[in-house]
Amino acid sequence: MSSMATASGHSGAHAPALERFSYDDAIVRKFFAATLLWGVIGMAVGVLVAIQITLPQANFGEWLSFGRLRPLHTNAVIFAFAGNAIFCAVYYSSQRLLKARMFSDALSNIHFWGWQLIIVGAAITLPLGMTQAKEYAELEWFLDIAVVLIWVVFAVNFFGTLWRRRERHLYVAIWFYIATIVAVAILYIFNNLALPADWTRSYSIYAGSQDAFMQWWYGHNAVAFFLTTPFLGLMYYFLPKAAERPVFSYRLSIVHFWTIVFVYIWAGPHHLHYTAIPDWASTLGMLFSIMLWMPSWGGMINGLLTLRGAWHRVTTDPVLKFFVVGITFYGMSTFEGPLLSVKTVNALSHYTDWNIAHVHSGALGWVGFMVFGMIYWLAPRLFQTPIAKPGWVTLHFWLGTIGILLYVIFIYVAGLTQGLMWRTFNADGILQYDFLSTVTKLVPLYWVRTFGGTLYVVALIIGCVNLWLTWRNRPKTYEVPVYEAPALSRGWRPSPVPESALPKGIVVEWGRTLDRFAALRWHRNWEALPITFTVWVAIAVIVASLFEIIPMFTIRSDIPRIASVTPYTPLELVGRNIYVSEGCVNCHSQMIRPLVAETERYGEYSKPGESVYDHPFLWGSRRIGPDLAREGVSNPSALWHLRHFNNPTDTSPGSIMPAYAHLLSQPIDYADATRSVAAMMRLGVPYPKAAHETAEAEARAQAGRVMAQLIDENGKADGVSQFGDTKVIALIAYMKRLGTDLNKPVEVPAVAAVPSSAVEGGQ
Amino acid sequence: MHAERAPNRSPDAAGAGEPLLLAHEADGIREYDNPMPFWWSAIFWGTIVFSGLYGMYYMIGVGPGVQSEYESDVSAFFQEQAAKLGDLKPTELTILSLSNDPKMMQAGAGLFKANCAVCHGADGGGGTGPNLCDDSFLNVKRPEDIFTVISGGIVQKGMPAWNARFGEAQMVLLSAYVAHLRGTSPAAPKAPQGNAIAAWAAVPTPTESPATK
Repeated sequence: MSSMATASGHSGAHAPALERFSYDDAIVRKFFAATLLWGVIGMAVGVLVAIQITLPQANFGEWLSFGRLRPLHTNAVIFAFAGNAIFCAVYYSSQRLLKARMFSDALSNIHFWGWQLIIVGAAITLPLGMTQAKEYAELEWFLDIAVVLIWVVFAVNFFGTLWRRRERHLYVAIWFYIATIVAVAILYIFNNLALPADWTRSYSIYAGSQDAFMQWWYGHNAVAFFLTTPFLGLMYYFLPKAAERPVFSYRLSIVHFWTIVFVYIWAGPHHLHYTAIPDWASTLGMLFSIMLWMPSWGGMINGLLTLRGAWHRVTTDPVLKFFVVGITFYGMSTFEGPLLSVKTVNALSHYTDWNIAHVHSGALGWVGFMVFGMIYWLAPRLFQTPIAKPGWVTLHFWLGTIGILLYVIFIYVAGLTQGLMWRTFNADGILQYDFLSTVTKLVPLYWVRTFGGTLYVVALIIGCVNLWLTWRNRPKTYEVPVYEAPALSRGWRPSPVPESALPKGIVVEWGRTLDRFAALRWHRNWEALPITFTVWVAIAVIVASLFEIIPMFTIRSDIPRIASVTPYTPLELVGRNIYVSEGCVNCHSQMIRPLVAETERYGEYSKPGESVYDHPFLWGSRRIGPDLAREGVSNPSALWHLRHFNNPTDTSPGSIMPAYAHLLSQPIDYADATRSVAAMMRLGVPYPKAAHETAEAEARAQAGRVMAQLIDENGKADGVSQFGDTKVIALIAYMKRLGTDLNKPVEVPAVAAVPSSAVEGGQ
Repeated sequence: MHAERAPNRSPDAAGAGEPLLLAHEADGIREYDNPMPFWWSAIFWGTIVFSGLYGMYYMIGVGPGVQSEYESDVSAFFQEQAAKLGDLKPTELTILSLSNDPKMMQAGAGLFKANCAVCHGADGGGGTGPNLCDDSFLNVKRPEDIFTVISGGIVQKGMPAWNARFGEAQMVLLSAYVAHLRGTSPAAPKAPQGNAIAAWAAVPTPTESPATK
């Protein structure tokens, strides 16, 4: 442990009674181990999905196919790897910064084991196809409840520790932890509000544009409050510790903390530029992203400039190497974020691998390297023995760095290449490249990416072996130092905030007030008041959220209704459930943007009124395959879809889509039609009264019509009739419906529409 | 903060420019009282001012919205395309003379590959949809019928109606391309479907197609 034998606060002068306490490092060691374990697993799944993108044969059956493993990869890396690392950092540093053992060892352990159980639950349910289809919010309703409960346990444990602290003032790392706990709770709960349709499935209570808005309010701020603020907190503790240097600027900490907390929340809609959300939301998302540039860089500056006077140590200390590269990637990503949020840039980057490169420079560079720096700094302290193979740490650093560079550089090239190909017109004013050729073009780049990612995982495994060897050298029993510090004295009063030094009378009063505010002296008092501090964080997050959410849900003219858009038929709903469950949304968007290159390729752009019955929205964020928003218009062939699902390369040579042959053998669960329609009715989708009672019969009838078309197209029953009543029929019905409502003749008022009339509407 | 400034400067203080170290510490971590770098504050205020101006311009209705921008883009696009393709009408003469025009057929090939190849094959040899290279057709007797099928589709058989997507000139161009495919030899021809029809009429080589000018 550290050489410090007595932790004495300078506040101790008037509180002579010393309390004796020790820190709970056993829980830190648990989170430490879990971080590494899930890191290896989550990233190995990442390598597998990277291979699957280039080699469709690497999709092993329905459970281990790209559409289901991609969310497993993202969830494992975010919530398991980064999550456990956050808890490791919080539990280690908070105890020391607050001079108090965690509030309750029992809560600490419930937190730890509960979180691991949730991860195991995710690792089982996601491959089984249980998903809410919203990015980083895929976990189904029963796991959501567990996440919220465990988060509450964490919060109680953390705030309990704050309450029992022996250090009056909260250090900046603690501010960031507070922001994390408060904001993640709010974001997670309100984005995941869903109505369970049965024990394993739920529908988002929001639909279409509103669901998309909530999702990216959450999704963007998951990046903010799960992958940024806790890691800034981590940085503020472990970097000055490792560098043995003071933090560059206290007042920059204050300014960039509050601006991050307030500004980040607004930026979500930049994920939805040119989609079916109102212009004002898109514009606000862009502007707040631009304003976020400097608050983010405040963190980078405070990190890098803290190393002033310690740069010579960076060459020898691998912990500092990890931190320097991590913070540099943070700086690059947080410049790139605002850049990508500019609408014109986004028109090119959206739906391409540019986003994948962006998130991986953040995840591998910033999150990963900050975690590794912390891990290697902690290991000798937690295991009370030197690192077994110091040279391997440097090896981990270099392999990891080369891995990141290979990964991101080639994926940036892939993103730009595809984005530019999509918008290229030839001299005749006709799109130059069909979609498939923009995919096959990327395959060589994908292989380099896979290699880079593999290097990164191999480096991590080398690190794990090293840490395992270190752990083996641990003492028989860990030394648990006992510290002494006085309890917080009662009767503490905030010290008066000094008046402005500006001359009275010459400078107007509000000018002096502003000067007093800008001097930030008042903030030191806030740091002694955790409740006030937390309330202000919550206010910043909630107020900023409401400024966008309230108009989004109240301005009806933002989502003009379209009379010809009617709810899905029972069979289409079942097909949509299959689409969700197979994770199709991970590769296919359903959102055509109002850009000429896009409407020329896919057809009329998507309108907000078209997805009003979409619980959840399925607009997608990446086009590994083509957009499907008008699939029913541009490809109404049932036979084509049947052949394509069975083996995509039969109809599209060179396609990288996995085969979905299992859909051609598994029977349709017709009872699902009843449950789905009933759930939709409860969500307010305007089906006729008691529509759920006839849902199953209607679904069967429509399946019969799809089969009739298949036979008709095929010219004979032979070769298609054996697929009657299999899942693929429902999925084909859904495909054939996509995008057809817009130009469908309006025969009956939308509200009274008989669902089955919409099946082959307009055909 | 002034009150908390410690008298001690940092141990390696080089000169008068060395910032003050604040008196408080947290688990041994100290903090300097450096001001924000000037460039940082300047850019931060700059982004705020920019956002204010940009927001006012676009959010009070002066700047064009996404939709109106698209509408002007798309009308410019179609005007340019119409100028390139010319005012093509679905007549036998137009379709057949276009199909003899190598330059126009190059343009048609792009349209075909992007939109039709999924079902009819990249070389027109057929797939889910019929072979377009042989002499047998299901719904076509004369070149104009190709246009009718493309435009209105045979939706119950899986053929989309392309009139929702393409202008008349584009569909005429596509019709010409399909007429042009007849008699070519695809790599993997699908068995003929429908009835054999008479050969296309002989048509003089085009002279006035705008693309050949």
